[in-house]
Amino acid sequence: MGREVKLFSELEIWAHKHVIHFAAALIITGLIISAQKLPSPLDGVFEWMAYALGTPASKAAAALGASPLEQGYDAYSLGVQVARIIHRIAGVGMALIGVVWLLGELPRIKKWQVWPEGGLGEAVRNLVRYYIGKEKPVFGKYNLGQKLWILGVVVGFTLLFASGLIMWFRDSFSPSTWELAHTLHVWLAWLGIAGLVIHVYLAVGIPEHKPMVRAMFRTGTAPEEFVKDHHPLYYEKAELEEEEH
Amino acid sequence: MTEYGIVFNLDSCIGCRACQVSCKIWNGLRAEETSFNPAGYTNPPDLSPNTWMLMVYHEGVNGQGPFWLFHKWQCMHCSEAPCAKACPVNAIEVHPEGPVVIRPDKCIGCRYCIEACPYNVPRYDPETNKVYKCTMCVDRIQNGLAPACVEACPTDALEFGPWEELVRKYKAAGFEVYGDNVNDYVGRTHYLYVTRRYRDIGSSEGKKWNEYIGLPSDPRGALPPVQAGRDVGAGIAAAALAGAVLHALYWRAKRVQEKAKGKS
Repeated sequence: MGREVKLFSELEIWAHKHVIHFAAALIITGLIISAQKLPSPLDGVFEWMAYALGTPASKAAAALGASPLEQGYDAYSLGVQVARIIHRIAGVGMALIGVVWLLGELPRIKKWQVWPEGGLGEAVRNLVRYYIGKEKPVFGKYNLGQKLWILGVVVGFTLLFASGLIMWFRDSFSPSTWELAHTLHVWLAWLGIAGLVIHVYLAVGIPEHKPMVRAMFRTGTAPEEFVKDHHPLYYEKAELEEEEH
Repeated sequence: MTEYGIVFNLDSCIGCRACQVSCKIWNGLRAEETSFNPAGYTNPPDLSPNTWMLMVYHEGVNGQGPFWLFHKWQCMHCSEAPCAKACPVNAIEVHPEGPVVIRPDKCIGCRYCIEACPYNVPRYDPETNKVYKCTMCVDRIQNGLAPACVEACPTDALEFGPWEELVRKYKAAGFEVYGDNVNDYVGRTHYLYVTRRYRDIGSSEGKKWNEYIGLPSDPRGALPPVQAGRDVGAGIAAAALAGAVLHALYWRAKRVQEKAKGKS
C-alpha cells in the first residue's frame, strides 16, 4: 500500500456518521407526518409506517391503563404523534451534533477554503469538465458542488431547526410567523432531500469515488494516487504542509 | 345525495343569540365565564374550542347614519375546504351534504388547518390537543333534522335546505348573496349570507356589504406556499433521483467509451 493522505479528522468522521442517522430519522419521521399529503406511490410507503408506530403505541397505552379512545387518537394519528416526538428529539440532536462539529472546525478556520481556488467561473468549468467531460479534475479538497453542499447543509439545517422550533413553540409567535416557518420548513426539507439524493449518488454511485467513501467512513485517509488524480490542488497543499514540518 | 346550505339573512336577524345558545346545548359545549367586552356586545369576544359560533354585533355610524348589524360567525363549510387540504392526517372530512367536519379521533392538534382558514374559524384547545369548530350539525343533517341553530331561530333568519334551491330562491327574490361563488381558494360556501336592505351599507366607504360584516370578498389563507412546497418539493426530489440515474448511465457509457478507445 502506498502513502495515504489525511483528509478527515476523527471528529469529522464521528459527526458525519451521526448526522446520517439523525437525518434518516428526521426525513423518515417527516415523511410519516406528511404521508397522507404525499403524491402516490410515496403516500403508501409511509402511511404503513404511521400504523407501525401507532399500533404498538396504542397497545402500550392500553396496557398502561389509558385507551387510545380516552386519549382521543386512532392508530394512524397516534403513530403520527409518535413520529412528531421522534422528529423533534432528532432535530435537537442534529443541532447538537452540528454545534459540536462547528466547534471542532473553528480552530482550523485559517485552513478553510470557502471560496474556490481560481475563482467561481473556473470552479464551474472544472465541475462540468469532470462530471460531464470526465476529464481530469482540477479540484481542491472540495469542488464547487461539495462546497455548495456543505454551505447548503449548514444554512439549510439552521433554518430548518429555527423554523421547526417556531412551529413547536408556536404559541410564542404570531400566526404570520408560524405560517412563514411552516412554508420555509416544507421547502427546505424537500430541497434537503433532493440534495441528499445527489450527495449519496455522487459518493456511492460513482465507482471511481470509492476511496473517498473509505476515507469518510473508515480511515480518514485516501491513497496518494487518488488524491493526486482527483483533488490535485489539495495534494499540493498537503505536500507543502508536510515540507513545512 | 342532497347538498345542503344554511342561509343567514342579515335583514331578519335580531341578534337574540338563540342560535348561539342552541349550538352550545346541542354540542354539549360548556359555558364560558365572560366579562364586559369593551369592543361591543359580542360575547364571548372570540370563538374558542367551546364556542363554535358567535353572534357578532357591528355598531357605529357611517355616511348613511348609525348602523346596528348582527352577523352569525362560524365555519363557512367551504366546498374547497382549505383546512381539509392542509390537514396532514386527513382528519377533516368534506361531506357530500356540505358539512366540513374535524374528526377529533384523528386530529393531532398540529394547527395547520388554522393556518389555512381564511375566515379565522378553527380554535385549538391545549388541554385536549385538538382543534374544534362548527360541524354544521352533520349528526342532525344525516338524521333528517335541521341544524340546531336553524331550528332555534325565532325570526327565520336562518334557513336550511338544498343549496342550489336556496341560492336560486334568494337571488330570484332580489337578494345579494355571498357564498355561491367566492373564489378558487374556498370554492363556494355552504353558509350563505344574504341581504337586500344592507346591500349598500359600505358604499360611503367604498366597501362591499359582505366586507362590512367581516366576510372577505377574496378570502385567502396560508395554504398555497405550503401546498406548493409539498408538490413542487416532491417533484424536485424526484428530479434529483432521475438526474442521478441519468448521470449514472451517462458516466457508465463514457467509461465504456474510454475503455474502447484504449484509455483506462
